[in-house]
Amino acid sequence: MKKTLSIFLAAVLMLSFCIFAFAANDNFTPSATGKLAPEIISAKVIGEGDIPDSNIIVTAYKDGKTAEMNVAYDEIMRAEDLSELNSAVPKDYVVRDFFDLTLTGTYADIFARGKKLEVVFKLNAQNAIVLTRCSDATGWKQVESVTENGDGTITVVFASLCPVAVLVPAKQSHPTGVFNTTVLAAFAGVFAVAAAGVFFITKKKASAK
Amino acid sequence: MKSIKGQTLKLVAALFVVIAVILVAFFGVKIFENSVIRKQDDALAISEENDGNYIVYNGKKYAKKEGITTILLIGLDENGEMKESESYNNSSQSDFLTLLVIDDTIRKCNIIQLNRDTMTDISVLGVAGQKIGKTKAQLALAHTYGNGLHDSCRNTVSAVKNLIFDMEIDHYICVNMDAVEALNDLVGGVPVEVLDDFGSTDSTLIKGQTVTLKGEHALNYVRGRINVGNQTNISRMARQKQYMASFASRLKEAYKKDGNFVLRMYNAIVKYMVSDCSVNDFSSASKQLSEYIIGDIIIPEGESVKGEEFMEFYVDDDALKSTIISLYFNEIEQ
Repeated sequence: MKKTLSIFLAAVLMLSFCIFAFAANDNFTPSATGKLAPEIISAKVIGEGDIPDSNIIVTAYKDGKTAEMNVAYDEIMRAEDLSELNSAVPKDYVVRDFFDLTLTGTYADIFARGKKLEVVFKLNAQNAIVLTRCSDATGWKQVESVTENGDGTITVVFASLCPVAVLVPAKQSHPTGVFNTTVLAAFAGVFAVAAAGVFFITKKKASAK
Repeated sequence: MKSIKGQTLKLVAALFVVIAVILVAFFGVKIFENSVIRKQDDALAISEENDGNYIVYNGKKYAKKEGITTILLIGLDENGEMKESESYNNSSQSDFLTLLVIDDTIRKCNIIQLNRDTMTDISVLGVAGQKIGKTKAQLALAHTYGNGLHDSCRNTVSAVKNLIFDMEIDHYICVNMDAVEALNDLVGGVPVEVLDDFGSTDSTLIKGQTVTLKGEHALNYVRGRINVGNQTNISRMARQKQYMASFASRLKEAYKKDGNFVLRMYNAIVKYMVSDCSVNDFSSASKQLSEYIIGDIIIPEGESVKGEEFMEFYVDDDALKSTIISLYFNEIEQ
C-alpha cells in the first residue's frame, strides 16, 4: 500500500516538475516570422487518406503570379463590393488572404477521379467564406464547405483547386487561442493523475469497509 | 492499524487535491495574463471625463507636456534597396524597434528600445490594404502586413502607438541592414566592448575586447543571435543598446565636425530607407540629437516566455505606463 502510494506521489510530483519545465527556455527559441500564406496543418483526400506535406503546396500571391492569379487578384482589387465576385458574399466582407493551392505527384488527379480535398489551415478567421476562381467561364465559386474548428484553424473542403480567396467580415476581432497544446496537455496529465489517485483511494476505502 | 491507514488515505487524498489546486491556480493566472487584451481605459489619452486637461494616475494629476516629438526607428532584417513586395503582405519583420522621444523643453532625447517579440495587438490588413481586425502577436510581425513600404510602416506605428498607451508617434524611419553598415562607416566606425562570445559567427569579436566595429562586423554585432552568447533576443538587445549609445556619441562628433553631415547621411541611406520624414525633418532631428542630452536607453521590463513555436515577450504594463507618464506628462501640483 505504502509502496503504491509512494509511486503515485512520485508520479504527481514528477508531472508537476515537467509542467514547470514546459515553460523553461531552451537554448535557442526562434523569433516569430511572418507567413505570406496560411499554413497547412493537415490535408487529406476524403475517403482515401492523408496527403504528405511535400505533395500539397501553398503559394503566396507574392511568390506565384500566374496569369490565373493575376486575373483573380485584379478582379478582387477592382470590385467595389465583393458580392460582385459571388452573390453569396454579404456586404462588408473583405479578402483576408489570397493564395494558390497545388497538388503534386499521384495526388494531382484526385478531382478527375471524383474525389474531394480536405485541408485544415492555421487561420484564425470567424465567419469565413472561401472562394476559388478557376476560369472566366466559372468565375468565383464557393468551396464545398468551411468549418471553424474553434482552435485557430479552419477546415476547407475543395472540389477543385484554383486561386483561393478567404473572405471575412470587415473589422472582425481575432482573439488568439488562450489554451495552447502544452498547457492543455499539462492540465490533462495533472487531472488524470489526480483522478486516478482519488479513484484508487476511494476504492481502497470501500474495500476496507 | 485501521485508523492509521484511514488517516494516511485522507492525507494522501488531501495532498492530491492541494497539488491539483495549486497547479490550476498557477496556470489559470498565466492563461488569464496571456489572454487579456489591454482595455480601452488603459489608454492615457486626455479625455473629457477628466475636464480634458489632465489624467489621473496613482492618485496624482498629470498634464501632457508640450514640445514632444516622437520618432519610431524600425530596423528590418533584410538587405538591398527597399522595394514594394508587389503583394498585400511581405516577409520582412521589424527586428529593431526604438522610440526617440525628443523633449524640446528640457532639451533631452529619451530612447525606448522595444523588444521585437513583445506581444501586443496588431492590425491585420486585408488584400486591399484595409484594416480587418486585430490579432495578438509579436510586435515585429506588424510590418509583414502591407506591401513592405509605407503601409507596413504605418501598421507598425499603429501597433507601437497602441503599446505605449496611445501616445502620438510623429514620424517613422524604417531602414534595413545595409543602412546600418553605411551609417556605421560614415561615422568612422563604432567602438564597443564586446559583450558576448561570437565564436565562429565572427572571430574578430572576442568577448571582453574593445573593438571599433566596421562594415559587416557592425552588422554581426547588432544582429547576431544564433550561436552567439546565450542566443536570446534579450542579449542581442543589450548589445544593440550598447551600440546605440556609442553610435549616438560618434554621430554627435561627426555632426559637429561636418556641416554637411546630415545630407551625406541622408544620401548614404536613402535607398535603404522608408520614412515619412523630409530632408528638413532629418536635419531638424539630427540637430536636436547633436545638441540635446541623450538619456539612458530604456528597455521596458517584462517577461520572455517560450510560446508554442516562437519567443513571446510580455511587457510589464504598470512599469511601462509609469515610464510613459514620466516622459510625456508633468505632474500638476495639487
